[in-house]
Amino acid sequence: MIEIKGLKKSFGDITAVASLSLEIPTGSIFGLVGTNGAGKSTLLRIMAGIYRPDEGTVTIDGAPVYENMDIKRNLFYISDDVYYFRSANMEEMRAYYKCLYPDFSDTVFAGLAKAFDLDVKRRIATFSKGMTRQAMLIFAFASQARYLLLDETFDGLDPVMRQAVKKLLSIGVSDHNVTPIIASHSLRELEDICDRVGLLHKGGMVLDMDVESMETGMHKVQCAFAEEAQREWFDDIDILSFENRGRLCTMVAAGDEAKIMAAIQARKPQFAERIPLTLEELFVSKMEGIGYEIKDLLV
Amino acid sequence: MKSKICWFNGRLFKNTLKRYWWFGFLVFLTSFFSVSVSSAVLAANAAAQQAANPLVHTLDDLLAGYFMGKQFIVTDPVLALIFGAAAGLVFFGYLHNKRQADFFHGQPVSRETHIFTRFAAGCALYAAAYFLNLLFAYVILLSYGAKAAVIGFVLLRLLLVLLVFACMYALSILCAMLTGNPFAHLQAGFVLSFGGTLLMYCLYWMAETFLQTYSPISLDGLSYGSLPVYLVWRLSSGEFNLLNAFCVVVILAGLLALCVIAYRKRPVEFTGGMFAFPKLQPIFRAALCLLTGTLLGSVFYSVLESVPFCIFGLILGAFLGHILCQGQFNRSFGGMFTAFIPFAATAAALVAVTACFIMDVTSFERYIPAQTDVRCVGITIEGDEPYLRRTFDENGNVISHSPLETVVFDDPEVVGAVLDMAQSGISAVEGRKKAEYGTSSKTYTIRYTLADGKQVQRIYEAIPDATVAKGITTLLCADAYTAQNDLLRLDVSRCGNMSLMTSGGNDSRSAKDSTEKAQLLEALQQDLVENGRPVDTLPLGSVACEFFGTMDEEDTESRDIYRYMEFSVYASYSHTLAVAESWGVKLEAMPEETLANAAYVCVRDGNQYDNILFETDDPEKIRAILQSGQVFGVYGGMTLTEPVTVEVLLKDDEHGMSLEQMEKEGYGYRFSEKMAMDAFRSTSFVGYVNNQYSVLLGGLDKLGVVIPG
Repeated sequence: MIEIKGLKKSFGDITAVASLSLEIPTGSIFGLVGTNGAGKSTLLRIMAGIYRPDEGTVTIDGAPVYENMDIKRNLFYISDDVYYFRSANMEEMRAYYKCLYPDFSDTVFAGLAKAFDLDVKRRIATFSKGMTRQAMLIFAFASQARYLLLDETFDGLDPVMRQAVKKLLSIGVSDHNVTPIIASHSLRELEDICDRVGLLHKGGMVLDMDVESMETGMHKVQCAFAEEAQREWFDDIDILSFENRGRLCTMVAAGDEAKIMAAIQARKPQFAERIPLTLEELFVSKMEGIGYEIKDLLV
Repeated sequence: MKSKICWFNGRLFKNTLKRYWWFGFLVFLTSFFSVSVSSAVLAANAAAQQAANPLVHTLDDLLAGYFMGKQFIVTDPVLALIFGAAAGLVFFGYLHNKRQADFFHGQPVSRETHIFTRFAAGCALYAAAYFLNLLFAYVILLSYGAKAAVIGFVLLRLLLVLLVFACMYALSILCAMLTGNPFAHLQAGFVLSFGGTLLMYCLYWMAETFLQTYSPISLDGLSYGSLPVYLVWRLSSGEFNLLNAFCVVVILAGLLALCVIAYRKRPVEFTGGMFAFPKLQPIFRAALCLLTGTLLGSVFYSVLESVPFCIFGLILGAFLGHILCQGQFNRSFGGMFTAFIPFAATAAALVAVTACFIMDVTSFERYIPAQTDVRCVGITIEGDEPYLRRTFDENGNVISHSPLETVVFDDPEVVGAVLDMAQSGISAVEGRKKAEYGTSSKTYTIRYTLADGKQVQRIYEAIPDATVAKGITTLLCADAYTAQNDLLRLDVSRCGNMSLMTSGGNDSRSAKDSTEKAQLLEALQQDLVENGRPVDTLPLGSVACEFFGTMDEEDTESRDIYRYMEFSVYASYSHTLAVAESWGVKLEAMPEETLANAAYVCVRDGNQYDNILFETDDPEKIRAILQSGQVFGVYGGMTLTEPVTVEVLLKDDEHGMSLEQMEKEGYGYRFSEKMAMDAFRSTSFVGYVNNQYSVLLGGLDKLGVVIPG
């Protein structure tokens, strides 16, 4: 299990991570989402033992990560800006990783390379962005590391490969008890694959929830009225987002579902129904709720 | 749970060697020219020289000399320095790149493992590439007929160069740890290389000045200005021994320990910036200002010889260093011209410290211990020495090369003379007096050993004049003593010209062939052994003639492995005098033509140089004096225990050179009125002066010396 307690990290005057606490159970896929500059990559780097925390602790299976080689041998970090040796091919990189990860599996490496249809003798520098990502994922799985820290993993992957990676991650979790932590802006991908999602904003964890249940206290309701609905009609409930398309109104409100539905029914809608909230809508609603929204971008 | 620290990863080491093979190849290519090709050329030249003169050289010795000689000493360590600095940038460049820093620090490799594995890989690649070329060179030497024993020099050279490389590499790694980008890395290298040494030099100066704790070890090499150059100097000046090697290894270990500490503390997130430790920025800025200021101030001072210009240079240099730093800190042109208070403080401190040095406010330069406190003095002469002095073992093999040899004097009278000379040197500096062109000034180092065993060392320039004649004599005695040292270890195969000359120069004879060289060499060596070799020469009266010799060939361009020897042959040197007699050298009588040519003789007190004891132009008296055996040449007139110095004016110049010719040849300085006075007063040897030297004679007149006729 990964435990983060009271984590703080600043770069000069800029606070990247502020008093963050989090627990990620082993064998689950954790999605890390957040606004630009929220501290996702910084958090991953701290979890990978690259940065030393200013305050707080990051422990994996009860041991601190920073400069702990026993832990880091069970951890594989893929940066959002992938690095590989300039003139190396996958075979040479495999030889390199084999020096570092004692359990590195040549079988897994060969199998995955074949499955992804990557030429291991070809220079990685000649790979496309997506192929490079695939190559790094192959190294990650072949390393047999139990914790995978993946920054923008789906970036550059085509839809087929996205599905393949998702499947790979699912197999890793189910068969090998791997714990992937994925930082991404692709909420759609995370929604499909993650067990839990953490929402970061300005270095703090705004939301940490189970994706399956979406027990967030937020409800999306679609309804239609005889005339165009007004936001003021619902002042007694906490509306996070409100949108009219003709007489069709879609709103996201926080609070008790019954109370929200009662407030809507009081206005005698032609119809009103609760519809599922997507992760993206949840993200946007939550961020709007804390004042992070598009402001006057379109003048 | 905290994992054990891993210092080395063998598999990673091998992988690193594979990845950086090109670095080794680059070293190999460079060394191929500096070692292999160079050896082939030198060996071919040596063989040609031997073929031309088989008596003078032995191929083995020449090749061994070349191997430890100037070319290798200078070229290889300098290349090792360059490659050491480059290795730090190549193997630890990932610290200056965010992507690479993330990549390497995200892996299960500890900081310590990174350092030692990469350090070992760099050293191994360098050593392998260099050693391969040394082997080539060795095979080349063997093919030219060198003895297999030359391998000793090959291995020693490998060790020397590797140590230099490793030290510079470690220094460069430290720079990588402290900085965030390659440009800052290079600047830090400059500051650490030169600033550290400057600091050590200041500490040394302060310790001697304020604490009076004389340094037990010689730090004079620090004046070379930088740690790397100091290392090269220390290791390749012939002073290399196990203790020095150990000291260098300790320095290396210290640097690596600093690297480990800095790496552990290094915040990776500052990669790309100027410094990994922002708190170091003001310190670095001050250090760079001090260095650039000192550099420019020194240039202005040495070129323009003006204190105001020196101060201007100090401030200008400090300003340039300051704006360079500020520009990088702020990453903008406008940012260069900020933080002027720290600049003003640094510049003021620099000017103040420099003023202290120039004015010698702590009397550091003027310090001369009381004679009663001095147990002995060691004199090391520089200036007219050959580039390298070779030392041989009992088998005649070269065991070291050094430009210097120190001779120790403990005779109180000699010590007193040396202290007087030191005082004269200080006075000359204070009076900004310099040796005139053509004056045989000498730069020398005096190391005082005090009664309590402590040592202190100063460097002076001696301007020969009457007041320090005895001290100058001591210098020449030291020179003669070292010449005797060389001759004792000389093998006839290395003998160049060898000759005996009477002290007055009235007769001389050179060895005609190798048989005569061997005869004279053996005689001299026997005499030196049987008579002992007192540091100060024997009484003047016992000097019979002078020995002049050279060993090895004279290479006028490089002055490499060339040594000129001269010292007095005393009356007690029976073996040598027997050789002289068998050669027909007229030791006693001055030739009749010289006697007939003598117009004036002046006899001076040897210890009170200005004190003219006797002078005459009476031919009979002159003849009596010159035939008395009391007229001696260069060294005869310089001995401490000499009773007199005799000067002879000849009617005709020895070489028949006219005044106009002399002036044309560049000897004109002798004939200005002032210089005539000075030249005469400072003449520390017997000179033949004819009546055409009217100005000089006028000078004599002004001195109150009546010139007959």
